Parts: sequence; C-alpha cells; structure tokens
Amino acid sequence: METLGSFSLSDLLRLSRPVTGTASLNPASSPPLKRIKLDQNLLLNPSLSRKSFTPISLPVLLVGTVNFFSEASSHRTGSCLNHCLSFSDSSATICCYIVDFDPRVIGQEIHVMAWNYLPIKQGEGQGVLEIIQWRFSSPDTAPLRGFSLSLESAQDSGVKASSFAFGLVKSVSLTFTLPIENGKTGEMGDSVGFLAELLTCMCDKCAKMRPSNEKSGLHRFTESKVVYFIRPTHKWRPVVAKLVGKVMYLWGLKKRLVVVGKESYVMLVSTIKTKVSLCDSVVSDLPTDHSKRGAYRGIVTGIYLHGAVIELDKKVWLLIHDTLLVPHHSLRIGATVSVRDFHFVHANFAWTKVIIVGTCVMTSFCIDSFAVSDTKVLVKTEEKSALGTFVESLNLSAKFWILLSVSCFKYKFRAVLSDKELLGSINSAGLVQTYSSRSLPPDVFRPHNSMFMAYCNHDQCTYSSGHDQSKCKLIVPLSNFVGRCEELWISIQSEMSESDEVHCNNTCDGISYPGYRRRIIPSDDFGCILMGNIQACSSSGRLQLVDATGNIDVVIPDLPSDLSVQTIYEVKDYKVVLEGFGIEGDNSMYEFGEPLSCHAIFKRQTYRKRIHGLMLYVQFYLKDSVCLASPSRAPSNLPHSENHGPNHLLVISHKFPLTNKFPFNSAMSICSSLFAEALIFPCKFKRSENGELIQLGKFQDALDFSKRDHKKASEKGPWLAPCSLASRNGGVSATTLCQFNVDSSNYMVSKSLARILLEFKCENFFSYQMLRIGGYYFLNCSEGFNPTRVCKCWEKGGSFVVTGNTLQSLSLSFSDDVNQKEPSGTSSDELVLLKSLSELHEIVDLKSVSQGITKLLPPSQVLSVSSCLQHMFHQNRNLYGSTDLGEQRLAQGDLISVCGDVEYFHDNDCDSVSLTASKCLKIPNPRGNNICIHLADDNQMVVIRGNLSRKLFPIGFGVGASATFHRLLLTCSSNRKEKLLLTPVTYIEITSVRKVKTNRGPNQQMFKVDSLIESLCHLPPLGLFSDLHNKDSKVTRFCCRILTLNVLVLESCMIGSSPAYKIPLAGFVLDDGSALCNCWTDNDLASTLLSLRDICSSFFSSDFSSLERAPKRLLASGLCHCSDDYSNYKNTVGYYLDHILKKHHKVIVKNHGVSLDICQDLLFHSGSGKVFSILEERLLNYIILSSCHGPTFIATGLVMDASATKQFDAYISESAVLRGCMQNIWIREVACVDPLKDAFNLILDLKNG
Amino acid sequence: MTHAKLLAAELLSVIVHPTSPPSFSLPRRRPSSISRTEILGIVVSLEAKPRFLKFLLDDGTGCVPCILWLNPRLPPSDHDPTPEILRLQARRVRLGEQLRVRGRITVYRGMLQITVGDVLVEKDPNMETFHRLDCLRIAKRCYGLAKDDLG
Repeated sequence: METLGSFSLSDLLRLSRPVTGTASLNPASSPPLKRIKLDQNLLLNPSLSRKSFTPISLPVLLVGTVNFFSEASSHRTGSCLNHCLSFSDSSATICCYIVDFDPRVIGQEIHVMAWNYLPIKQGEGQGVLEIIQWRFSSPDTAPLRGFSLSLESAQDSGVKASSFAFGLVKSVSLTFTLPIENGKTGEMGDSVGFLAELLTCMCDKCAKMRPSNEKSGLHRFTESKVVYFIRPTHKWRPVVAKLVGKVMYLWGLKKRLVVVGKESYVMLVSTIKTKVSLCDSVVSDLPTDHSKRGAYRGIVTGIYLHGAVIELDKKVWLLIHDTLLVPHHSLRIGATVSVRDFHFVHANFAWTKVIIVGTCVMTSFCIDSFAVSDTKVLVKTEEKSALGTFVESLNLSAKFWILLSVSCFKYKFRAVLSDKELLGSINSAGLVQTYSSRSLPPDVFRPHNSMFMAYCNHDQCTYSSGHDQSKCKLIVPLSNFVGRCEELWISIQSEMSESDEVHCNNTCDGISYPGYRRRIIPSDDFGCILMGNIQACSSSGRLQLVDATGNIDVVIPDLPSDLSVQTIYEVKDYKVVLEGFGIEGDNSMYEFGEPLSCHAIFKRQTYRKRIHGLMLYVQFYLKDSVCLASPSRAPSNLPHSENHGPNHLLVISHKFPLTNKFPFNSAMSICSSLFAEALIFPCKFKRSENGELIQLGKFQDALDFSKRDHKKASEKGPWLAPCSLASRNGGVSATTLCQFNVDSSNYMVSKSLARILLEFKCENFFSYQMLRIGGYYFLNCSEGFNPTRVCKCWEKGGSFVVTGNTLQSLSLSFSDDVNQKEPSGTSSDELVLLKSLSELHEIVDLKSVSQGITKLLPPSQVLSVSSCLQHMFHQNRNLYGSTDLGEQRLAQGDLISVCGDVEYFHDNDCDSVSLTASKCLKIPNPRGNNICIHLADDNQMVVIRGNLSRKLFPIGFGVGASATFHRLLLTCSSNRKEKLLLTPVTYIEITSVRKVKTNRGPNQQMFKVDSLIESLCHLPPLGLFSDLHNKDSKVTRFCCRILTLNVLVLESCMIGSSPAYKIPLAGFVLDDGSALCNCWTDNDLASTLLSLRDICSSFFSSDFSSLERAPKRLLASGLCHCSDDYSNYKNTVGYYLDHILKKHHKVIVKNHGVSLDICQDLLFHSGSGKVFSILEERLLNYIILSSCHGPTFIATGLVMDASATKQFDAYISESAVLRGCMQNIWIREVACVDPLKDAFNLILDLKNG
Repeated sequence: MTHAKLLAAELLSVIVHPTSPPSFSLPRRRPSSISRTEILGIVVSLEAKPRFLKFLLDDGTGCVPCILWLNPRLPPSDHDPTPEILRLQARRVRLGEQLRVRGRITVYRGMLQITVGDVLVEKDPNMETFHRLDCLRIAKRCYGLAKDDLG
C-alpha cells in the first residue's frame, strides 16, 4: 500500500507559496502515515509561477484541529473573525475555510484529504487553508452526539440565564461593535457581537420551552426573534453563519432591552452560559419572498474595487454593502459562491442595462467551491473614507454607477490627479464625490443606519426592484470611447452592405473613385460623458481631448484664448463624426468586445485605434461643457499679464499649415513649429488696475503721417473713429471706448501696417489652433510698454515667438463680414466646426463709423466657387505660366482664397478604374499624395489639385465639408487652361460638415424613381395593341408609329372669308411593336399626324413654284396677317394642300395595296371630278409617305366597337379588309414622346408588373 | 407584320429558317416568327455606294448591319416622290448619328441584316434608354419572355 505523507503547518508557512495537495481520491482507504518534511523538492513543478497553485508530487495529508480563533489572535482581520476558523497543529495556527462544513468539526482533530494553501502575506507567517475534503482523524474522535456549542469554562458561573429559543436560523449579521453604557456604573464601553434572526414556532410546547423534535410538521416557524451574540460568544459567528436554514436550540439566553439612540429593542442576548445545538430531526425551509429577496449561485468572473463589486457569470453584478461580508481569502476569480437574501435590481443606465444584486445586513454569503487558478487574495482597506459613507447612502443602481465612476476616474486621471484628489480622504470629499453628488438626482439617496439599526429595521429596507437611471451616463475612458466608435463604424459598414446601400462612386476624368461616408452621431446615442484635458497634439497639431487612457480629436467652434490646458472639462453635449471611405474585406476581423460594457470599464481594457482611413472626431461647444477642478500639482501656464497688459492689436492675415518634416518617424513631431502671419496695428493698450483697457498712443504717432505726402489726408485731417473693444481674459470682460485716429482717404493705413510672423512651438500649438484668419487679437509684447520707444514688433519682417497666453482673442466688429459664409447650424444634417468671425465676436454696432475703419482691414479675398470661376475666366492668361529654374518649373500666378463645399476628393495617382479605397488610403506616401479636390457651390464646381498628406488633413476635411482654402495658386497649365493648385502655404479651414448623401440599392432606387414619377407626372401606363383584345373599352395610351394609311378625306372649307381645308376622316395603320391597329381621327389630330404644319422639303418648293400665285390672295383673305406669318405658312405642306383643295373641293385617298410595306397603291378621288395633276398627286403621295416615315408618338385613344366602325366601311377599300382583322381605336390625343418622362413611366410599369 | 422592337443582341440571335425567302423566329418567345424589326442605335460604320448605303448600327448590345437601297423597288413614276424621300433618308445616315431604323430582316451571304424601310434621326440621347425600356416592356408583356431573361 502506498504510504501517505504528512507534514507540519510550519512547513507550509515556510514554503510561502500557493500549494495544493491531496491524499487519495478514495477517502475510505487509510494508508499508513509517514512524517515528511515539505520543501521545494516535493513540489511537482517548482519552477511554476508563485502566483499559481503548485501541486505536491506525492499523496499528502494534513492533520490538525479546527477551532475558533481566540480573541488574542489580534492579527486576524475582521474578515477572518466573521468567516474563518483556525486550523492548528503543534507547529502553527492558520486560517481555514471548509466547503463541506460540519459544525461538529469544532474542537476536533481532522485529516485534511484535499486542500489548497495560500500565504496571505509574504514572509509574515500567515496563510489560509482551504479544506476541500476532510474526515475525523479516527472514528473514535468523531462526536457521537449532534453539534453543540458552549463556553465550557463558564458553565458553572452564577449568571442567571433562563431564556430559551428554538427556531429556524433566517439570517446572521456581520460582527459589529456597538458603544454601550453600563446601566449600573454608567461607564461607556464597546460591545462586540453579531445578530441572528430566528423564526420561532408559537405552538404550546415551544412556548413552554419543551419543543418537540419528533414531528417537524407540528412546528410553524413564523415568529421572528433576534438573538444578540455578544462577547465572548461573538466568535461563534463563522459557525452560526453556516447554520442559516437550519433549526437550532439556544439555551442560556437573557431577555434584555437594548437601547440604540432613540430606539429600543427587546431581544435575547447571549451569556456565558449560552449553549447552541442543532435539531437535526426538524427540517424546515426558509420562507422565500421572491419579490424582495432571493438566492443566487454563480461563478466569480471578476472582483473589482477591493471586493466592493463582484461579477458573477459575466452577467450579474454583485454589490457588496460591507466588504466584511465576503471571506476575503477565498473570494477569488473562479470560485463558486452562493448569495442568499439579497436585493435584485434591473438598472437601465443611459449606455447599458445591467442586472445588479445588492447585499444588505441580512445577506448570507458562502463559498461553495474554491478557485483553482487565481491566487490573488483580496486586500481589504479597513478605514472608511468620506466617499465610502457617501456610496452607502445611495440606492443600488446609483451605487453601482458611482463605483463604476470611481473606476473610470481613477483610470482616466491617474496621471494628473492623486488618489486623494480623486477619492478624497476620511474627512474631505474628492473629485468623484463632488462630481457625483452634483450629478445624481436627489431620489437616489436613502437614509443610512448603523448595522444594528439596519438589521433590526430591515423590513423598512427601501430597495426597489427596478431603477431607471437613464440620467446616469458613463464617464467613459477615451480609449474605450474610441473603441466604441470604431465598433459603430464597422456596424455601419455592415448595415450598408446588408441593405445594399451603395456609396456614391464618383468619377473624375472618367475614372471612378470609391464613395465616402459620414455619420454624425449625437451624444444621447452613446449615453456617455466625455471628460479630459483639452490639448493640442504635438505630432498632429490637432486639438484633442486627452485622458490617461487615450485621446480623441475635437473641434470646438467657440474655442477661447484663455482656455487652460490643465483644466479637466466635462462634455455632456457633443456630436461624434465618423467619416471615411468604405472598408474593404471582412468586417469580422475587427473584434472589439463591447468597449462600453461594465466589464471592460472595471477591467480597464484598453483599445487602440485600429481602423485606418476612419476619421473620428468630436464636436462640442465649450459653453456647454463644465470646467472641473484643475490638478493642484499642475504648473500654471498663466504667468503675468497684469503688469504688462496687452500691448499690440493684431489681425491674423494667414495661418501656415503643418508641414511634414519627419515623415519616416511617426514618433517625432510632424512639425517643430507652426507659424501665422499677422498685421500689427499701430496702437498700444494697457490694462488698468480695474481691468479696463487703456489705449496708449495714437495712430498718427506711430505711423508718422507727417512724413507722408497725402493730399486728402492733409485736407481732411485725421478722422476720429470711436470703436468698442472687448477682450476676454480669465473670464473678465472689460470694455472701453477707444479712439482711433485714422486717415479716411484710402488704404494708406493698412499698407503701412507692419507684418509680423508669429511662431508657435510645440507646447503652444493650442494658441495656433485658437487663431482665426481675419480675427483680432491682443499680443502681449515681451518688451512691455515703453511709450518712448518703438517696439521691435513693428519692424517689418520681424517674428514673434508666442508663449503661454500671449495672445488674447478680441471682440472687435467694424461691419458685417460679407465674405464669411454663415454656417446655418440649424440643420440637423449639418455640423458647425468653426463659427464665423462675426458670430464669434461680440457684435458692436459700429456701422455708422465703420466706413473709415473698414479700410484698416486687409481686403478680404475669399471668393465663392462661382466668383472664382469668373475670376479665372477674366484673368489675363498671359500673366500666368511657369518659370524655368534649371530642370524644375516654377508655377506663377495669383494666390487666392476660395470657399465652397467639398463634393469629393481622391488621390490623383490612382489611375485604375477598379480603384479601391485600400489603394487610395492604406499606402502612405511620405511626401503627400497628389490629391484632387472637387469644390462646389450651388452652381459651379472647381477642381483643386496638389500634394497633401492625409496626415495633415484638417479635421473634418472630407466630402460634404464646407471649406475655405486660403492662398491657392491660380495658374495656367501648359495648354493655357486655368487651374487651382494647393501650395505648401495653403491653409484649409473647415467651417462645417454635413451628412454625405448615398445612393441606394435597387429597391431604394426604385422608390426614389417612383417618388420622382409621382411628383412629376400622373400618367397612365402605356398600353399595347396586342392587349386590346383583352381590354375593356377605356382610354389607353400607346407609343407607336404610323405604318401606312388606310384612308384620308380632305375637304376645303371657308373660315370666315378665308379658304382653308378640313380633314373629316383619316384612317391609319399604327404599329407599336406588339401588333398593328387601325386608328381613326379627324381634323387637327389628323393634320398633326400628317405633319401638314411641317415645313415642306426643298425639292417640293421648286416643284410647286407654279403654285406661287397665292400670296396676294392669302394676304388679302386675312389668312396671313403679317409677312412673317405668311412666309412661314407658305413653306408648309398645308399651304400647298390648300391650293389643291381649292381646285378639287374634296379629295379622298384610299390605300388599295395589299402589302403594308410600300404605300404606293393609293387611289385619289376628286370631289370636283377634275383630274389630278402630276404635281398634285406627287404632293399627296409625299404627304402620306412622309407621315408613314414620321417619328414615334404617344397616341391616346379609345377602342371602337364594331357598330362604331361600320360608318367607315364606305371608305375602307377591299384591300384594307384583306390586310387582316385589326382592332380599331379612335384617337383623342397625340403627343410627342418625352423620353425621360416616359422612360420613368416605363420603369414604373416594368416594376409593377 | 408588326415591326418588333428589339435590341441588337436579340436580333442577332434570331433563328433563321431555311425557307424561301428565309423566315425568322426569336428563341423562347411567342409568337416567335418575326419578319420586320425596329432598332435604335448609333451609326458606327458607313459605306456609301451609288445604289445603296450600308451601315452598322450599334445600340450597346451589338452591331446590326443595315442596308438602305437608294433605288425604289418599283420603277418610279412622275407622281411618286419615293426617290426623293429615299435620298432624304440617306442624308440622315451619318457616322455618330443616333438613328431609329425600321425594316425587314433579311439574310445576305449568310449574314443577318436589316433592309431599311425608313430612317429617323433621334436627337435626344434619352431616347436610347426609352427604347431599351420599351423593348423590355414589349418582350415581357407581348412576347411572353420569362422574367429572368429580361436581364
């Protein structure tokens, strides 16, 4: 028989690593024990990580005694006192937790057959033994009788304790400390103990303290009694807690009145004589109230915030009201736990729905099986902070939200804020608490009681089963937010593919390019709050919202100059823009794993932007965001300025774009410096003590007008123009009235302005982003103010390095800015990225004085697309061209600014028709791609070409963007064709973006066509001659042509005194491609079909020259009243027909041909009996043949029945009868084919049927 | 006797029956027998002879050879303007012109062609779309073409 090893606990403690051991799978066998010494050599795989359980290589057994911890075990934590028993042998004592607990084990020596050991603290000689399987050491040591607990040493004391309790253990509280006052001495002290609720029976026997244990059915456990186990029986808590649901006897209790605050409770209190035993013969189930409480068993899948939040089965969130409730040693990921008597809440948060299980003072918590992989022991923080107290005062869903927020705040701001700043301390509230108390609605707060009070008054517990917490939004870590946006983008692509939505493929120069998509998603759809610092990215120059997890590009239309980069902003109201070309390939390759799930937030899963070609940014207004506290340790970037005051007034004339200096190393900044060009006004200002701006010096002083020879100026003298200035500095607005002395004559003043180059280093890219071309700013000159000296800034060609908040935006308005396109902003499809300058500035009504001051401004040259085209057309082409510089050609031309809507853009290098987005987007070209931009306004479009790296695209640049291109080069190509080129200094300003229109798939397209047809026309569908046999007699439209003539009756008549002709009857054979049909009509319609009003062919004009005797008579008859009408009329076929009918009065033409091919067997009958001349016959033949070669037309007619056609029998020749039996229709209307309209009609017809 | 409105591809796929004169039928259609047709396309090739004009009409689905005889079938009389009308029509046939042509289906040296009855210039480019749709409509409703065959 195999021997069994046994070693001492001290060996385990010495090993100080997680170990697992087992004796045998068959507990019945009892091999001989052999004392061994446990060391590393006995471990199965000692090289395994010390963070995982290492099995012992041979069967081992642990022998020891299980008991309560004594009070002397001061090093034990609160959790140990509540949950753990001690396991000791001769060498040491450690914590133990038994899964198949038998209360009889207390005080007995056992053999532990299967176990895990975990050191609690490295090197401190503490550990926990998780007992999976055990047995009493020998049958002799097993207690013969049932379980019984008592304080043996105190049984003989003289304490009177006659009360008795018999009942079902319903719940057990945690051990707590209650301050008490000794009734006799009045001394204050602490009472340590726990409460247990028993459901007792009220039957007679039980009342007489003689409970019967024979028949359990006799007892009805309904009456609640609370037993207060006080010191020294409080150490029984680990055992009593495991007796929940069992029937128990209690002797030696005392009935006492316990007064807590203003409340008093009569309860049974334990004494040193108290004895507890189980009544195994009486079995009863605990009453369940599913509406309020329940039981749940699940596997721990996550433990967060020191055990305050436990995730079960990846779907249920267990909120622990007091972390002492859980056995800290054994609560590890992978353990199976049972929870009983909890509160259950379905919480609907703004971004997700979760199932929350909340514990309370009545809840019991039990480990059913131990975790086998996770060895991380939960560390409990003992002291309770102000935040902890605050959290306990909330209902379950709010509590969950705030715990999630704690996780988010710590995750997001760990780099800039300390734990104390975030979470507060025992006495002071941190950022999380102040933010939460402001954000949470008042109804989430609930009264907080001590554990004693809460336990005794538990029936008044106010947790409800469902909470609508839609106002609670997620303070999302930005990396998770980016992940969510990418996840959305992928789902948008999939939805488009599934719904056959075809993105607009655009063509340029005959080449098709992939479509562009943009989605604008409001913040409400996310249910998240963005929070972070606003900074300018040193590598891209773009404004970003930043936290410790990541960043996201932002656009702030109302960006002020005094924004602090250290301040944390809370953005609730925003719009997310997702745009880019469609993704090719399988979307399933992108797995995001629900970035906004509570699991991802608690677990701090990080996401990185993975989808290339997706431009993702957030637009919001700073006025709608809240400024949270700045970190105390952050250095202030606000130096000075009180002493200096703003010195110079600037207007920004141009911003130079980013340039890609280091294309091959993305880690490096794209640009070390950014530049802007400004015109500096010759006036100086100083801020007074009360914050007002004082102008120092006058224009004419600075400009030194006296040196200039301007007649008008000398005649009129300086012109005084009042102007209102308002600046924003640190939220203080100051307004003062200044006086500009300017020359009213011309641009002299603006020409004399100094041009200055502003340089922005990496750390001040923010100031660059704030600048607007055409905007006014104050510049704090480093030299300070010296009224006697001309500042260096004035020197033309000078430069100025901008630092800190050197620049302050200025509200200055002279007149309406006509060249700035006002972004509407009201349309839900349009998103404003940049406010117009007039909107940005506080408008001051200065129209009355603006005339002179406007001339100070540099002439604004932003052209619309239409104006640009006109400009291009009118420019002298000879001025443009190129200059040869060795082998390179330098383009020459004007620099102009154009604004319009980007209709499309694409890489110009791609020359394949089967161009794909990947080809266009995924291959980086460090020098920038040769790009082609289609810029349009309502009427016209221009194409802008040039090199531009996609990395340097301004935010929002894409299809549907309203953009202003500053300093485009208007030049001529080699074929003398004007073209617009991007230059290295071209700055693109995006004012707004709007949704991109998409084409729909076949079904949706049909719908669009349908609606077009419905809006354009309500035409009945076209019929076919072949269907006439089946149709009822109703008006139908046919698309047909004349094949031949059956009969034609022409008569002369007099209209007033004028001779004219009429057509009493005309019969044709019509062909619509499906069948032939006889059709009949008269007069005007017949005249139309015969084209009698058409101009006669020239060869007839000569033939009929002999008939040119009519003019005078026709004129005299008044048929033609003017020479033009007459000349028109005499060229028509009808004109000549008129002559014929004058002679014959009536002409009848019948077709006697059997074949329909040729219309040559026509017989002519004259009403006057006269013979037809050759010319007359020729004309009549011509009329009929021409009509047979006539165009397709739409005839509207009615089917004639046999009786109706009988009247035409006299006219129809026998040959016509021989040609076959055809349907007859009477034509009511004839119209030309409108190919577009009728094609729509046909599409509808085909679709319907 | 009707002029079946057809696309070039359909016309070129007609079955020629070796009767005298040859007869023609459309596959998968009823009534299958046709003798005259009307097509619309662009003139892509032109060959002018004293007695006839030969041209290719391309409608995007195929090219159909067409022949326009410039001499009438019967000897012209003085009162018959047919020769002048034929000459007028011949002048309409120019390269690149969009024409609507009606005529009889004939075979010349084993090749299918249209012996043109009349020629009409269609100036509106939308007429091509309209003609195609009209062909589809008639094929669907009159010739009983299966839905799948409509393309």
